[in-house]
Amino acid sequence: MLRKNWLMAVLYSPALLLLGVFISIRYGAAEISFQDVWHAIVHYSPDNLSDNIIVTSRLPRALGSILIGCLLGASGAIMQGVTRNYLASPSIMGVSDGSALFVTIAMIFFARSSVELMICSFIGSLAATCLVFGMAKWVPGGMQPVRLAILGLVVGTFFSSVATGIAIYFKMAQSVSFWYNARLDQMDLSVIKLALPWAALGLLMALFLSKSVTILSLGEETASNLGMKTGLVKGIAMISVALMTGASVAIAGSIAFIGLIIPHIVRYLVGTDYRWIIPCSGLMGGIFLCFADIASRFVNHPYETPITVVISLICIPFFIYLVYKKGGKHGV
Amino acid sequence: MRRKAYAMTVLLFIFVLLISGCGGRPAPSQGADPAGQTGAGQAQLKTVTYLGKQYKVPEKPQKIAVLAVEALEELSLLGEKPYAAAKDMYLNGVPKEIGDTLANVQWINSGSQPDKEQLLKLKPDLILTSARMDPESLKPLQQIAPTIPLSFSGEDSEANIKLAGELTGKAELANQTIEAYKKQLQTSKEQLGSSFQDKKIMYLRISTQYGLGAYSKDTTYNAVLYDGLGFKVPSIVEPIKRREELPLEKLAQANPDYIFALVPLNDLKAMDDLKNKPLWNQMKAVKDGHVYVNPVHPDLFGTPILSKKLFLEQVTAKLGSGK
Repeated sequence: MLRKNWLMAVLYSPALLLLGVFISIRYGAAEISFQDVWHAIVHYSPDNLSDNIIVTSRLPRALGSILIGCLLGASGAIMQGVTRNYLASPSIMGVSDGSALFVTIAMIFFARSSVELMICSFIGSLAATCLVFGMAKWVPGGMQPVRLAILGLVVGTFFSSVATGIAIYFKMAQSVSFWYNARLDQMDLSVIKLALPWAALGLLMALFLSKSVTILSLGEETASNLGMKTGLVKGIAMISVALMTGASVAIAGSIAFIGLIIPHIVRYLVGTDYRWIIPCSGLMGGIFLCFADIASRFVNHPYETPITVVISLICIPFFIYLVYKKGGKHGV
Repeated sequence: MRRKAYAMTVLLFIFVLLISGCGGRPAPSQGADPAGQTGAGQAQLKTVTYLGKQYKVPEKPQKIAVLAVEALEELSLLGEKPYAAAKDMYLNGVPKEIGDTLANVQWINSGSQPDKEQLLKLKPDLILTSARMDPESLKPLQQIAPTIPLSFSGEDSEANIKLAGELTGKAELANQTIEAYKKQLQTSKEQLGSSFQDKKIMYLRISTQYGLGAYSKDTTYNAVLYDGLGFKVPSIVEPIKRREELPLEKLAQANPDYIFALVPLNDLKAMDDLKNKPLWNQMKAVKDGHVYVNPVHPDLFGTPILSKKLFLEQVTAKLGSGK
């Protein structure tokens, strides 16, 4: 049964991705017909308005949502595997908020080029990850699922409060708030191209680590006894998460819950082997965010609904179910 | 032990009820004069009618506190200076179009709500604010002095300046101002002729946070373009109820011929970001150089006659020059 689900997930995913991209391109604020889509693919002309809408507005949005979903899904999978904590995810562990704080500081004190903001985003993600896990090592029982989640929430709240405070002090609250809030509808192909190498590096590291994470998910002692350098694996995993989350926040702001929920769904489909969980979480995360973005255009048509609202509506009941079912259990 | 805990809970509950009961105030009297007379003191009162509602105000108010731009621009046009004004009306400095109206004014800290303690200290005898304020927020102001919330609808510009005239004893000047504006509209219509009747002319407010903001056809400067000058209402503007953020692709598809854009002075980057977008550069208005950024100061509100008069001058000049 598990193998059949795994096979279905792998076989159907590309088809679902293509379908998601097509629907995302076809439907939006402006009227675009199937003929327009076909014309843009086959006879693209920069002077044709519909072609331009598809290529410069709809396509970046579709590709961006898939990329971000992929990065967040894979980040969540790695975090859950390394920490053996079913509540680990970039948003709950304060990784996104760390990114936001450093970007706020950069926007206020340095120049605001996209490259600088992106680098600050990575550093912020890494700093938050180190702080959360550092505190977890220091606090007795800090690595337990709920305690680690609380530490992550506390650190995340601290970072976002400091970011808000300095943004208000320097009268940059509006710019920072705009930057931080999920803005899939403002996707820019140039920013995606800028983030792509870093995102790809993070993803490759994640895939490279997947075998080690599988062993680590069995427990730290087991992994050490099998000869694994657990410290090194965790360090590389943190860097990978920082790169992927930093890139995703830099492209489109903070989007919560994907890193939390997607790995659980994937685990249900493919089992507990992280050599499948990590890539499939990336794939499923991309598909999920793509379709959630499409749904956000229809919830209150013709107006856009914030993507965070749509994702919350789907993911929060699942989150409550997780906490209820798993309780204080360790291990995923 | 359980009985003790239960008894403590009940005692705590009763204590909280007593505290909340002691903190309650008597409800304000619901009379014909809901505006408090504290600030007005023993001054002679008169009744003014504004948009179908009656207000009791001092015969000759000496200390007018202005908390919103709607009232300030009308007072400025009538040459009246308020006694006190809300500090955050203009975040980027007072526009030069306001002149010295706010010179030597007593500033009131505002933000989302005006500082009531400061207002109490200043003891104004009349408060002019905006109908954008919710009714609950008006109640404490009404306790301090008679308070009139001015409308922000483009259709009520005349009523607003007439009120300002009636309050300051310059009703005649207010009527003359209205007549002058109407005459200016007529002159502009004749000057522009019919060459723009089939053109798509739009007014937008552009910012990083709120994107491309478009307004309903009778709101702010749209009232000048469509109701005043008689331009055709573009199909993209027609369904807007009050304000809407337009996606760039929708605006590109509407492809206006002329755009009058207001961009906050501390957010001109929003315009630079737009200029990097192929969809923006493809629009007819952009290609033909018919995008006019900040033809008037972006902090002018758009509803008062002052805003409309200045905007009308600029629209006539820009369209008439054939640029």
